[in-house]
Amino acid sequence: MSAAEVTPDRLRHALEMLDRLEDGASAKVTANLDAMSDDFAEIVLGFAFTDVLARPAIDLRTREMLTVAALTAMGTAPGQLEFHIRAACNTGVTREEVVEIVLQMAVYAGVPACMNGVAAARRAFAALDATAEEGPSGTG
Amino acid sequence: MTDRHARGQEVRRQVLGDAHVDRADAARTPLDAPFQDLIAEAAWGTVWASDGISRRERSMLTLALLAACGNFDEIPMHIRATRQTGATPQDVAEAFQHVAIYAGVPRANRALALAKRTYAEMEAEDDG
Repeated sequence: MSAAEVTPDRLRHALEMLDRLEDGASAKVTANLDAMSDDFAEIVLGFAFTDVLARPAIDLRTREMLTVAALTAMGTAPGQLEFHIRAACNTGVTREEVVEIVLQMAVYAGVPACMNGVAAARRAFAALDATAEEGPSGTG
Repeated sequence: MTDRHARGQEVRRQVLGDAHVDRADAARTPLDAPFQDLIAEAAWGTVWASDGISRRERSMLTLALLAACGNFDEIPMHIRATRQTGATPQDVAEAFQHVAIYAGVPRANRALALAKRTYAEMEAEDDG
């Protein structure tokens, strides 16, 4: 099977997954990646969201908890951390659970990583509250 | 050889000990010679040579940074260097407490295990 045959589905599945994580996310992310290269979205999003995240052995809610933990511990991707905290809340993780995850990272990655995680969670929760007040995006 | 290089070699011997430096110099090849000169001038001739803070404090900072960045390979060498710098096992333990808080418990745990093993080796060598 050639890459040309699988490409459209792989990208389409990835974009559907992104919109499950946050309504309207696929449009924002593809606009960013398409500005760089035609193949970028398919390669990057296809790998992350179709090849890995869509695998059935772990449910999406648990995967988002793991992603928040990993990004908090790494501390190198604040934008992605904020997005995945919102995505976690959108896939059934409670705010209380997000706070527990960030707290646990103080043990394994240090207090500064935890404090940056708290700041990211604060921004993510505020964005979720703002969206809730405005209504879902795309409904005008 | 620059003054800074010569001063660096002197400080390096004072901190790491003659035996270590003799071994390291014997292992020097054309491949790592420029790197060794860079380290001699920058790390030993500039940073460790400064008298702005004590050698004991430099030992503690260095061990904490090595552990926090996960550069565990050099921890045994710097534990051995505490004999020359005057940092006590208690100083080292306090430095690793900071690592646990700021860089995570697993890194402090690993650094402590390496320190413990190195202290044991040093004691065994003294007895032998």
